[in-house]
Amino acid sequence: MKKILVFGLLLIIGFMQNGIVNVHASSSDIIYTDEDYARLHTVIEHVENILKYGHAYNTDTNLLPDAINTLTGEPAKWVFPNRAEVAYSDVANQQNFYRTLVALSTVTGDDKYTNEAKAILGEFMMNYQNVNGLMYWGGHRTIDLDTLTVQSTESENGPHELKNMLPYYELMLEVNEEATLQFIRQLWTAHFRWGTADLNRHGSYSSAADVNVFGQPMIDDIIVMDELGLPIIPSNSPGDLPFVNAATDLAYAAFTLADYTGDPAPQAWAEYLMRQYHLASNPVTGMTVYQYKSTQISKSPSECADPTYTNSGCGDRVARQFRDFGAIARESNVEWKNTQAIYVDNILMLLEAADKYGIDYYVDWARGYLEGYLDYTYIRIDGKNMVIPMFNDGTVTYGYIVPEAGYYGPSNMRLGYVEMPTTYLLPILRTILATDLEEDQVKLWTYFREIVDTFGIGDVGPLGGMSPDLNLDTAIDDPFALMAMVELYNATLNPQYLEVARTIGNNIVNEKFYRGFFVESEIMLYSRLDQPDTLALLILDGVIRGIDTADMPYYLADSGYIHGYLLANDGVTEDRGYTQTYIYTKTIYDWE
Amino acid sequence: MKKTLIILMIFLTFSLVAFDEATIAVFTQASIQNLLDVSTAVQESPCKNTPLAEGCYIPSDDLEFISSTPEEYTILETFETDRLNQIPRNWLLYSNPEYVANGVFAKVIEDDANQFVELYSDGLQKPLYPQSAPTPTFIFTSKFNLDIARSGIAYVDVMVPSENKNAVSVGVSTGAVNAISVTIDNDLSVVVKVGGPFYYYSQNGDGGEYFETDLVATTDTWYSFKFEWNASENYVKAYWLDGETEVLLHSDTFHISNRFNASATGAILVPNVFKVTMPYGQSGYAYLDNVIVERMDGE
Repeated sequence: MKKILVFGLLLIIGFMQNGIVNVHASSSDIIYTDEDYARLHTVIEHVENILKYGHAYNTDTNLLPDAINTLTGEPAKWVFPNRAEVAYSDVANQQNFYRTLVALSTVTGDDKYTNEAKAILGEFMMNYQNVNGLMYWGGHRTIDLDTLTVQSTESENGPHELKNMLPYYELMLEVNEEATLQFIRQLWTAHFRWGTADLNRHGSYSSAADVNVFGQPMIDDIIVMDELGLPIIPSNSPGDLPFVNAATDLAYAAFTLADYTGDPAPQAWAEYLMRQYHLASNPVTGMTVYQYKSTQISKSPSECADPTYTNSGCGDRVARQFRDFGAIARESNVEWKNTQAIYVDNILMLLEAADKYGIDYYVDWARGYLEGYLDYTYIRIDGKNMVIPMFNDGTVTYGYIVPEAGYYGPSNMRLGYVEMPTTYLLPILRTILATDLEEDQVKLWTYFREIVDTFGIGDVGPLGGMSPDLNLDTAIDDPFALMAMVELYNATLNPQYLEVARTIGNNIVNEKFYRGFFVESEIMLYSRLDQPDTLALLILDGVIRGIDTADMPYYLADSGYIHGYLLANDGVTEDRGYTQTYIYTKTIYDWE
Repeated sequence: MKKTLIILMIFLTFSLVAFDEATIAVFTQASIQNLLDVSTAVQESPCKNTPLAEGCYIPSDDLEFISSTPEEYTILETFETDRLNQIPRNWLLYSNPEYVANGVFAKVIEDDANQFVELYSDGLQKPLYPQSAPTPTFIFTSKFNLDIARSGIAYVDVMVPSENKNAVSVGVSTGAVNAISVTIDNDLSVVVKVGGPFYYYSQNGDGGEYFETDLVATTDTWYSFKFEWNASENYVKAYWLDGETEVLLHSDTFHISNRFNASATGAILVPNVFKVTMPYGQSGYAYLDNVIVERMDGE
């Protein structure tokens, strides 16, 4: 009898605990409302305007500009120091737009948008691939939409550079398999030194194609530990800087190649490359690194006497500018700059590799990196998610006043807290969802719960997210928050997540759809093709329709950029900068 | 015992209802109500399955854009109406966080009822770019636009003092790149420079070309210079104005650094900046007056 009683009680308690479950809905129960269609309408309008005005600039090409000036309807232009203007089309920087086009075809059932993406990629791969296989795209090369010729923004022969651009290889392979495979192989040939594991984010367009690419003998790990079990970061890189953002693209390409061809060698090299970063991570804190080598000094002391001369030939630039901190002061170990590349873009790639290619231990790595990073750096201040600046051994640099100018900024700069962007939501959530054991999810979930709440989305509740108390009237208008809520809905089928996702989607439309285009905010001048908002809105639209997210393009990165020499904002001096900091920060009030 | 169990079960069932409602009230409140409202009141959109159909998707009208044609304007700066001891209106003096306070300054001063600009540079810092180029410390500029005419004339008066003088350059630039300028050097020789620097794009060492002249300046004496450019006819010229006489100091074609991609066949980029500079590595004063940029026809 006691057993019956206990069973009855457990049954009842179980029923009580699932009290909120009774409002759960399966996707087939969801009503696609007029409000849902209104969001889709804005996305269609945006895409149609991008296609209409982007193509109007030069009707001799399918290529589109990276961004459109919403006041003039003209392409964004790179302005060189001598006023030369280039309307640029950098296909590497338009990956989210191609994903948007494919997603739009998926939800509308009309292939015309996918065909647009294919036409652009087809023309690009046919005409703008170097004979060695590298594409003319990325950080320092673009296509001039006036002349349809290749333009460098660096020196006369700017190098190939991809940093977290993670091309839409699935579609590229569909459009031109041979060109895509040749590109991926040359990406490694041009950027990676097989015998020394030196990686350069710059690859030469003069590099010869290697028929034995990925066939080189595997070498020992170059990161070894000292007597204390800490990694020794070599300082022997011959001018190469193995930034993780470049490695992320190499690894992603190699995983794609291995999966597509069935050849295991590219995957083995990708795993080797990622392992160097893992070995270089701090084993005590868990925090990982931006690079696993420093450059060797090749410049003379007199050349390097000027601290503002930041050429990497003068050695590790953090060791130069932050020498007060001793041996830990290395570019590898900085945890307040480039952290998006380390803890967002790289982790999203690792999780993608784990999910698609079965490299399960990447989930454990990702969890270790994020737990270490959040354990040491995360702090909530003034109602904001913030990061404490430090090195990866936990040495705090907060409050440090930089004594002299250098690569990391001007002299007298005081290091303060760094605001954590919403982009962190996705790697944290996806790591939790990819983790098998509940006990291993607890720590990250606790951080996730805090971070989500601090962003004003409400409480996702205890581990599992089955009992959330979300702020359905949240004011956040962010695509990463939207995608996180959609992914939580997929994981839990709790309709609260869908409702808050709808709210965020409405906020995005209300706050970012102006003058016929999606812009960062009402006053921002340019509509950027790579912006993730429209893709996020379409992923939401697909979920409401009951389309499996596996059948929709997947968000991986939002990092497309151009870097090089340009006319400074004062219009009278030369500078070296990025589209993201020079062009896409301009407002409608900056337009002359 | 069975009765006890049944009573307990009934009690717990009622408790469950009460608890569940309380839970809903506490944890979800309006959200659940919203969901209920949605499920009962909201109809499915008729455009769900025909999102591009007529009656669903309404294409936007042609967007109204503003013209991107530049508006031309010129410069007429006698500094007579500017406030004393302040930087003149319409001018920009470069500095960055490494510059100390008053390491560079440009301020309007008055002498014999004439207002003009006193220029000072400590020569200690310079812009980061272009690296490896003789980048000046002192960069004082005003903009104009003659992009449609693609030609123009500029005038300027400049003086170096006998005490604490500095080398000074005046001329017109295309953005950051010199088109043609005149320098009164430390030894008071007068040098014309055409083009440059634009090191980092072409890598042709095109730091500009220097041309010596026969003119030697005298301190505490105002010198008037005139610059002409015409992209259609591909020339730049620098004159010294000796009273009513125009003395040609140098005539040349546009330098390669003023062309698109620093290519010999690249389109010529026309000047839009009047620029005054003093070099890195030396300190001192110079004086500036009567900066005029006008169309080739004098308007």
